[in-house]
Amino acid sequence: MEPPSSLVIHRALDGLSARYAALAENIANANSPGYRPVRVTFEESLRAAAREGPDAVRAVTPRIEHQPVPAFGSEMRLDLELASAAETANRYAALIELLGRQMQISRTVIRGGQ
Amino acid sequence: MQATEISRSALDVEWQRLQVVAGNLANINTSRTASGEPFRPLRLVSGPRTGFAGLVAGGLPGGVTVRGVETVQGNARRVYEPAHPHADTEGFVTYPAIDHAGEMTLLIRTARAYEANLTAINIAHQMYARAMQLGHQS
Repeated sequence: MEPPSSLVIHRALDGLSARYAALAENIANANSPGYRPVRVTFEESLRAAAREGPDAVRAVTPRIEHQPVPAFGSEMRLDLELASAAETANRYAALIELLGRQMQISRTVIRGGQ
Repeated sequence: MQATEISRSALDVEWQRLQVVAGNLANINTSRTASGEPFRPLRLVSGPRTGFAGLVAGGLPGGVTVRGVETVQGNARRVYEPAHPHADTEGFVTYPAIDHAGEMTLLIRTARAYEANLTAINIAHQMYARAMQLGHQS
């Protein structure tokens, strides 16, 4: 495996962790009057940075912004926030799995294939 | 454990909101408080601990916090009960005009928010549990 690959996974894990904190913040403020939900984006900048090289990937930070105002109804949807939280957790688990497989390959190499 | 702490702060706030609503419902027939004033229904006001500007500046989301407990402005309910010990000179007793349906709706909303935060804590724990499996010998 090339080093940038695991570097990208690390950055993506950081981004997903920040996204989960933002979702938890939204759910926590479900009953706060006038609260505007936030979201975290990092995929686009990470994808662009992955093409440029390891230094660009290291510089990627998750971006925090307001969620767009829904066209119909102004209330935050608690169910959608929870669905996003579950999806974030699943993607996090998938990336952890990927890192684990990489480690397994390294371990196999160190043991000489035994 | 940042996400768990955020959800934990919300559990605390929603629990307190539940107590305030329960207090309103319990005092629906209170004609006078200890200070002699008629009872006024209370409303817990909550807000995020870190504002959006703080988040963009690199601050961590701090969860939710109680901004205060305020009285709800509204008309009192005056009932003609001349025999009541708290009746005024005209024979009227002042009860709080508690919006019963509104309180019950808020009760349900509070319980739903509480459940959503419990679910969020569970999901966060699953994430941490997966992260701890990293590098596990298999």
